Amino acid sequence: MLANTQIVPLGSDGDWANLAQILGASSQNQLVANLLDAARNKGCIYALLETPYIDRDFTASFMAFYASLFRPYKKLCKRLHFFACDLSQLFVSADPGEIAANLESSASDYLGYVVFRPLAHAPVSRALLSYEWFADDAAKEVSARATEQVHVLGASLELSGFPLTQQDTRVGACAQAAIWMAGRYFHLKHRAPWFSLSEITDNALRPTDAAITRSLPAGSDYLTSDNMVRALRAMGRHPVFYAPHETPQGYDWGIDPSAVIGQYVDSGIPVILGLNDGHSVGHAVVAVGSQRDETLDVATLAPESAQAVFASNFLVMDDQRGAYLRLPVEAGGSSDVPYNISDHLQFMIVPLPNKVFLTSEIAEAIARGFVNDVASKIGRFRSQLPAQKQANWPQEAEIYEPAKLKGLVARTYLTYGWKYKSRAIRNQTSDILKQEVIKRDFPKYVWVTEFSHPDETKPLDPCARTVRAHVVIDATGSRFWESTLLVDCPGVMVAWDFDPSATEDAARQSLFLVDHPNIYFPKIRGQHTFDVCLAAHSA
Amino acid sequence: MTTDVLSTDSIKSDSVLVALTHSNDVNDAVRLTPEVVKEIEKLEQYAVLSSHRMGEFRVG
Repeated sequence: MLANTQIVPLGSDGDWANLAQILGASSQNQLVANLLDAARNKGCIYALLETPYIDRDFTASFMAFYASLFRPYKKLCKRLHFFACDLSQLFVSADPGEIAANLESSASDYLGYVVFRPLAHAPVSRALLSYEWFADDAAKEVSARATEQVHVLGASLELSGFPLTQQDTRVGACAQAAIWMAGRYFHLKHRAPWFSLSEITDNALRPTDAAITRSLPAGSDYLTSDNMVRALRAMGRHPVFYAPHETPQGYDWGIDPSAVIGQYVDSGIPVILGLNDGHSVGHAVVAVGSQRDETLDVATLAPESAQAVFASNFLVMDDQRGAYLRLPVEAGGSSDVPYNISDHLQFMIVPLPNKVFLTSEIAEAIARGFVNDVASKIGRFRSQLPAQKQANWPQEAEIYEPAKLKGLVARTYLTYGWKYKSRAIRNQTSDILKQEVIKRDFPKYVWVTEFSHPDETKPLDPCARTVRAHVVIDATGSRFWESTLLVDCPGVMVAWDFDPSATEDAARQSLFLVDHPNIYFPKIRGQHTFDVCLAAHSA
Repeated sequence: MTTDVLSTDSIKSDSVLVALTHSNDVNDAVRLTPEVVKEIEKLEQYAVLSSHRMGEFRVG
């Protein structure tokens, strides 16, 4: 098939008007307008337009629905790539290899792409926008992000971000779009199976509830949260559902929803948020990151705060509005969407992987419980030391003072056991911790809770933050048996081990009293080592 | 070279002041207090209560 790739200059108002003309009725769509505005604001001055473009997602929708209609529809799409560099000379060379090489040399100026369906009512089939360009504020962190190799004109361009789609209102709703976005992220990031929107709807309606058949095709107006969970289960996820308890006084979550969203998002797990603005049908968005509040006064923090207290906004993918948009925790802050967590959150669905049987808030409660127990026994531990060592032990003993202990900010995240080990042995942790960690096998997933003094975890630069203690918990664990693997506090390290050859199933604990400074780096996203931080510190 | 130095068992720290290995039921064992266990039970109870009818909330 002959496919044309056209250079579209976008340096002036006239150029952008010309692009709107090329896109036709699609350009009137609110999401398209928002995406084009965002690209322009981020410095896009040229685009490449592929026409026609065969899109696997729309082909699936076409086969499932549009091909069956009396009215003829086309299945061919368009793909538009945004660049922040001059592409005017791209086709000057007649050498195709040189064209591809020149395009690859523009990789650092590649902002992302949008695939357009031939549907004016729902033009965005999918988009992937670079988080580095579209969430470039230092206070913003897109924690759930995946990398895709984009192929155009024989060039291969690497693009990292979170996938976006738009509900096709004829056959689906924002619920399917939110599930698609989460599912496509897991496909790109963890090689999970590929699912189309129509497959998601099929899975959500199995079994079909009577009420949902009131819209035709079934599921085109809305999904219930039960339907969403069914779809995610069918996609191989093991979702955990959070919602408030209804009491005569109103909704009672029993947890801090923002803290929990922050814990999962920090783990690289997107969270589907069900928002209620008082209408009979709410809206679903996907939280993929957060924005930190640099101005937060740490003296005002509540005792036993979670890391999410520093988040003023969550960054969400909204199929009706755009990518990496700010959803405030509380009303009144700067916002890109007409919702906030405090007033509008109705439920959240966390599409966990298998083998995670502890939720984040319980893992954090266990971790804090162990650190508090170490603190309560520190005097007894001190008495076991040689007399000459007792006076100034442990270093950083102030952490065990009640006020300091209560003030510790916890950062809880899920990670692979091997990644925890890889980071721990490369961190500034004590040698004894590294030596004990390298000897041990860890489960596939572990919950890690890092504890820091509030002022030491406030900086925007993660390398400028420090950790004073941490706890590692088996994610397949339970409060019914010993699930904690390791506790590391100033002066005290505890490890639990099962002896596979022993007849009893209880773990034995090894307790080490040590005399090392306990100040190390937090987990740095995207880094397995701390070389970046060490280089920054030595500069 | 002994067999010991060919395994991670050979990795030992000389900077440990005191090392103790014991079961979880001795006095010095670090463990969750009954208050923390109660707190966890409460979180689990919320999880059960909150799922009541919330599954029917519609988004579209």
